[in-house]
Amino acid sequence: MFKKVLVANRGEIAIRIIRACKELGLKTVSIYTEQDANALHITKADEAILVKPGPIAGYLDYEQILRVARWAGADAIHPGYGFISENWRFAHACEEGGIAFIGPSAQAIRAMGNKIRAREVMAEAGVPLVPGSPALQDEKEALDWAAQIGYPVMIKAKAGGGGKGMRLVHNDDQLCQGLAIARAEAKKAFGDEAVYLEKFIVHPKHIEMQIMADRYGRVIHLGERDCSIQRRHQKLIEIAPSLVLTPEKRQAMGEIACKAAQQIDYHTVGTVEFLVDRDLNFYFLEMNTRIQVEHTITEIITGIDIVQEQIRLAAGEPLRFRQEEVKFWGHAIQCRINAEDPRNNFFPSPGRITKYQSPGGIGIRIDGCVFGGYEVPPYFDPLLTKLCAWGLTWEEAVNRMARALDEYIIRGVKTTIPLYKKLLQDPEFRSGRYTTEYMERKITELTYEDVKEPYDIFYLAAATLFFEMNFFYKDGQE
Amino acid sequence: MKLPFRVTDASLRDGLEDFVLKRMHPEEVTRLGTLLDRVGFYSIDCWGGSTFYHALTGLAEDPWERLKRLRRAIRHTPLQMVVRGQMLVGFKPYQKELVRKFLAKAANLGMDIFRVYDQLNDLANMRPAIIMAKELRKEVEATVLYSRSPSVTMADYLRLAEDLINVGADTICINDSLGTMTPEQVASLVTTFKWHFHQSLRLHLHDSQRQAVEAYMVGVRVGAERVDTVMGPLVWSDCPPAAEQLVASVAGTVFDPQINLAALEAVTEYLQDLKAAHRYQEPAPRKTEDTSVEGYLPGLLKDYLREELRSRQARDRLQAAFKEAHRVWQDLGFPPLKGKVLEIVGDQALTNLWSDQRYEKLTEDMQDLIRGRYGSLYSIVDETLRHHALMLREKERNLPWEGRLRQPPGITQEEDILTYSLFPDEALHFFQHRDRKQAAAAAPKPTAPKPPAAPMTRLGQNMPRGLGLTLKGEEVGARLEAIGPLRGNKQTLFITIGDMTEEIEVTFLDSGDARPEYLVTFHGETHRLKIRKVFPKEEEYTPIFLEVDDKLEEFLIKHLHID
Repeated sequence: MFKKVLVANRGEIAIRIIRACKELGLKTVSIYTEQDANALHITKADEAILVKPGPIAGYLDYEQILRVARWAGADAIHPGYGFISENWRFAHACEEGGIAFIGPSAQAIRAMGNKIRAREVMAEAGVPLVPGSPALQDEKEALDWAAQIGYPVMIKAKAGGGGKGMRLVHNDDQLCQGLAIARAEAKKAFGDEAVYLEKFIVHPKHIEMQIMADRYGRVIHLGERDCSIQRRHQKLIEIAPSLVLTPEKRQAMGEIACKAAQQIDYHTVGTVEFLVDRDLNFYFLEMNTRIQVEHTITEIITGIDIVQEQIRLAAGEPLRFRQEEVKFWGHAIQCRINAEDPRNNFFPSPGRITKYQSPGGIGIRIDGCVFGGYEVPPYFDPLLTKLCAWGLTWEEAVNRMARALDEYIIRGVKTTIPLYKKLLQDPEFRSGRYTTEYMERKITELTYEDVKEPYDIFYLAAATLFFEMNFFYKDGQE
Repeated sequence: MKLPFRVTDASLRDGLEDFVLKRMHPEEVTRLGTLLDRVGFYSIDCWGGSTFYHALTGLAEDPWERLKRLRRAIRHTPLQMVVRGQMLVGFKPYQKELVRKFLAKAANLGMDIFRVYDQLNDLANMRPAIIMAKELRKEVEATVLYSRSPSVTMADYLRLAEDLINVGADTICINDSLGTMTPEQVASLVTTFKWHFHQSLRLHLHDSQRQAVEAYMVGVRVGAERVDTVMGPLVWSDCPPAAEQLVASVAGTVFDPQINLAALEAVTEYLQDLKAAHRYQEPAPRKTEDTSVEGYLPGLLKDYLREELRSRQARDRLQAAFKEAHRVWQDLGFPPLKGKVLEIVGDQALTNLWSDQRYEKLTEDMQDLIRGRYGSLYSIVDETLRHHALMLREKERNLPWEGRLRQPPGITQEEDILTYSLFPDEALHFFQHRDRKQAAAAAPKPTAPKPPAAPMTRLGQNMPRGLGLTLKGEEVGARLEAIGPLRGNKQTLFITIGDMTEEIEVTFLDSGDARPEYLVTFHGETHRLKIRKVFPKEEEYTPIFLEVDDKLEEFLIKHLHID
């Protein structure tokens, strides 16, 4: 087992990893850039080291991170999600540098990082794929493929992920226009302008399978997560298990996900994402070779600490569970509380958190990185906290989440809490039958009032009166 | 009595890098130095080469401090270091002033022997360092690197040795860092050298092929005076052979170098205990690349080439690309394909494929590679590449340089200035880390809301500090805790209701009406308020109409006098 782990990330996932390490008795080192000097993840680790330059490049400079790891005497690095977690060069440099990378091999990351190559590898494994094209060279080839696949089609970036660099088109004109824009976006976001086409499955569900594998060829799955509540391919709410999958379908998807992992000699944890159509046919979408933001709900319904298991597996331990030992209990929901203004097109809302009160009670879990007085910086992902609720039944889980959202007070910045409160009342959401276009369709209907607490109006009135009295009537006249 | 040959220990520079340069604590290095000092070595090769950069970046230890510590610990045995010619301990030729100052500082701190070395056997690079070290009246050894290139002959080695001696070298070192010289080749080389030159000869052979000890034996029999070894527990795949093994094989014979065996054993025991105390696990042996197989390439490199060709729509050239990549790798002398080196070999292979002539164009990264940026290349086998590398060096050497050494702000110590001149970015990072360690900085705490910066604005003598507000039957008491200074038309107030004190900012807008309008910011949200009407006081209450965000509310206000 490792002695000291360097956490090459920030925010809530850094704190999550530090907690897992502490429970395993491992020392931790965290890194931060100048703009993150007040962040919570610094105080949770045993050591904290400044990396440059801020705000973001320091978290991406993996050579510097490796140097820092050596200084600090760390023998393993956990990359979290985002940043360099799926950078195969970093994983390779760790392997060569004698520091353990808590994740799969560089080769596996590379294979799945290239979306076109990933599809080819999965096809070889017999994993069902969404009909698609290889990397497109020109407009003519794009038009030919679109005719073959059939509209609507999605233009996707070869090196993309996380919902970025994607465009939906319905006809030839839109395809021609969209192609140039998609290339430019892909080049900017990923440094690679290669794009390909994929059939757009109408009203699909986005269901992903959590897998766990050791170095000795054993792979198990920990069930699915339904992540269909998305806006512009960014997930907002995730649930586990899905309300539409039958046990047979779950088993079939799980087996396919395990097969996909075995195909690339995968180890530690990962997620295989699928699109599921109305008839419950499922198609491989992509594989994420890292811990996911929404791993929490799988942990809740299985009782398995996925981050700890990931560290154990990276240290070479065998899987501690057999497939038959993985049981699912109840339902879990996760709401991503972002510092965004849903009424203003989800515009980021950085600023100082002037009041913070988190909910509690049975079945509530919070993975956060903020506190009262914290300055939410404008440079990073707007995720403040992840609020999870568990219930024995789906109904119970939803009610519990609604109660927790009511209790949750975050003021000073706009958040997505009021939107979720409204969403949880919607019968379509409660039925569990929503699909990935649900949010885009419903967003205009989900109106809500400003966040208010009972005594707000009194504070406003008192401030106004005191000011007026002091400003105009300093000598005490009324 | 003249001893048949002398042994130099290179454990601290060439020994198990992963342990010596990444794990050992400063006190342990000191203790090792003290123990080595008792053995009777000719010299202890303990500094320079890659140790400077590793100390700075890997250990976060000041390399100059390391040297000082070693000098204090090693009192009786001369200290030796490796200098990469005009490149000193870096990856590019530095200006002569810096070379002079660096060598002088090292000599000043106790360095006795300078072994000048260049991975391309480039005399132009080695010359300035040899001359300057001689000016310091120190012993200078100059290295002739054994090359795998079939075009390098004995005559070339002799010519280089002669030139080095003419420049001023006291000793010639024959260096085989790939460990490929057979004992017969060693014998042949040493005999020829000894025939032509009277200067002392050192052998520095790596034991990768497990024939270094035999090669040493053969070499000393035909006249080599010095050999380099590493202590047994610190031997790894890329270093000289174990001292214990060599000494054991000659003990009692006429070639016995008269080493203090008890002291040697004490060092071995110390290192074994130290490794156990660190719970040090030997790194897994590097997977040996079967480079002898025609066209062999590691899987990752093949994947890389496959993808690049796919994106260039040239998959039909895949086999040619594999072949060319193998050739490029071979030309470079089969360096380990670590990190970026793999991509560089791949990119250069593709560039060659698309050019009329091989190496007609070198990629930027390839130029860095052959400069030695990604680690030493003991022998570039291909003459064209070697020629390119030398040309790059020549260009860099002739670059105009600043008149004096670069001095970062706030740094005055000469050693720090030297470190900064060699590796500016890494040095700055190191200085910052050192300062932090020294200051033992505590982790920053979350900031609390700022209290008003300036003294409280004086309120009118009869100005009430408390207000009772009633709205729709609910009455609350609001207390004014503090009021900040007026900044133009803006002021911050701290108001308590119940036990919760909140910070509220009020901005007064002159709307031209009899009554002003206010923008009140509370928890990041701004609201518009206006006192619409104030009615006459009824009993103790004054009714007012207050417009809050265009919604009219009726309040009953009562003054509360609070001390």
